[in-house]
Amino acid sequence: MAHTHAADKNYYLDQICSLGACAALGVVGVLMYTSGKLSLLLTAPFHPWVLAGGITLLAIALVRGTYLWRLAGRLEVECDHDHGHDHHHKHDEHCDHEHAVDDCGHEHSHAWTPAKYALLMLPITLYLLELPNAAFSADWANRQADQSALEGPGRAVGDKGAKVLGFRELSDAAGDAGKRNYFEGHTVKLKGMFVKLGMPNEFTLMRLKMNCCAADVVPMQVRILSEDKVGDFARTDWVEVEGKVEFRKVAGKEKYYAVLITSSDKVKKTDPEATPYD
Amino acid sequence: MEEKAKDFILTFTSIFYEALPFIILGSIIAGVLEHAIPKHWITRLVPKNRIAAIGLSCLLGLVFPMCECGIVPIMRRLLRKGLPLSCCTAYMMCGPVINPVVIFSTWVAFSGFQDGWIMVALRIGMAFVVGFVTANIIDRQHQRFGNDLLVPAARPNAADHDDDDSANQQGFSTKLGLIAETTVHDFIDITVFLTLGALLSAACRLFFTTQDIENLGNGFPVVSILIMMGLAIVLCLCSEADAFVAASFSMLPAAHKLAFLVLGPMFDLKLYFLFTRVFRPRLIWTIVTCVAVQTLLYSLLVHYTLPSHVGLPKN
Repeated sequence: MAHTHAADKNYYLDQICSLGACAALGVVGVLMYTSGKLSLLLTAPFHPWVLAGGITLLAIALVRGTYLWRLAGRLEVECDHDHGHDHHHKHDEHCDHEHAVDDCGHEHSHAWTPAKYALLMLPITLYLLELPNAAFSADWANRQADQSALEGPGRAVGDKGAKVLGFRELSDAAGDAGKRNYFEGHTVKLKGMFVKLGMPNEFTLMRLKMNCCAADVVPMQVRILSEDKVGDFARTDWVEVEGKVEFRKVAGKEKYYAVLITSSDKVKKTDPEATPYD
Repeated sequence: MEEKAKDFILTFTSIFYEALPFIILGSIIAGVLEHAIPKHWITRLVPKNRIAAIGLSCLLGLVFPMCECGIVPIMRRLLRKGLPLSCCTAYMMCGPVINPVVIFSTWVAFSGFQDGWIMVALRIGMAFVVGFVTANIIDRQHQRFGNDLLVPAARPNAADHDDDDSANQQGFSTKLGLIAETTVHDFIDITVFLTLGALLSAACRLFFTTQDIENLGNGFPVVSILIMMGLAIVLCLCSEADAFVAASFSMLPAAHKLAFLVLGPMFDLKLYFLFTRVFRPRLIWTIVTCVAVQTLLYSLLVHYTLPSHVGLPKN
């Protein structure tokens, strides 16, 4: 007995919904790429993958749509024999019982389940609502900040002159004794999110390190120690700081943070970067 | 509240769009496997000796690298094509860890740590042992319960022999249409559950900060390792990225990081939902129990035998 979906009224409805969801997700994938929104979500190497995925989904929907159209056409003309699929799955000749929807032994679930498509509409709806429209909030950044007290410098650090240094480079150097020795004493200029700590002359400068996607973001923190009280910045502000690099141990732990020793006149409010990722 | 909602949406969409291309790729491969690869080609490739077959399947990711999301639709089609369940699960568990991309990313993540290469070797070795032992247990269970361990859509079907014959006679456009049909079906089926998993994971992430994780993971070894395992399940990180996150918990002992790195690619919230499209609950819980118990035991073994400086920053 050839297996068909002729009697399954929901089959074509389900197929049309599947096609629609596929095509819509494909379009959203392409639009996410062209609108530049992906830079909030994923690192650059993943962007072409999403674009390719979107285009592939559109191509698959086109092929499947054409095929379904032909099948539906045949259904109208040849309504007295098998239609639906062209591939025939033979059930047991003695199979005279009713099958549950998912138990027919092959891959299709025939039932049209609106809840499934409602769930698939979520990323599409979010895109239409222009969400997400920003990277992690200031509230999130504030919660991530390490409030631990730092130990003193231990020894005097000489002045080695100005150096151009990236946020990630300096933050990563804190975990390596050789790099700490090399970088300390240089004067650098860094830009990041202002995160208030308990003291008036101390705060954290934060940027985020994204390895693949926003879900794996790790905060990079540089502690700023000012000789005098720093200005009243809002928790959503970005600041630029110029100061001398030191590395200080977290009290009671074998962990170091990069520290910039500065003064309040060298801490300036600045325009935020397009994303907080570095 | 509004900020929290936006952070939630950001996390959800990032997990969704990161996994999406790999689900699409996996669904296309599944479509091709179903309609263009005859069943006997696949069964012929499997060694007769089951232990050797499972061992080779654990290493299959070195040749066919695939992430944990994309691997699920492929595995379902391989099961239908007659590849033994034990081999499929061995590939499913080890493939996302023992593959060139993940090995390289783990090496890069731990290159700044003391004996970082040991972390890479331990991650590969531990994943292999966990996957190999679990696959053998599943093989025993399969001998006892047969295909009742699988959902109907994943069961090998004798009728596929007829499909192989008829597939050879189909024209290119028909075959393409059928491949597209299976691809669309698998893509929709898996993406629904990816969405659910991503939603749950994003909700859980609202409650943790990197600092919390590091503090929680620095307690009594058994408890800390269990906490790291729980985090691996909740965070749903891609195996290509998780090493960087583990490395960011710089002061955690190597064993704690390993527990996070080995369990995460084998089982997490998102994967649980994807597994329900292939396995019956009995098999899902067998996999979860085997993987979790082994990860805990091996991590404890590493903790008490490995020199304490391994996997820590070069201070």
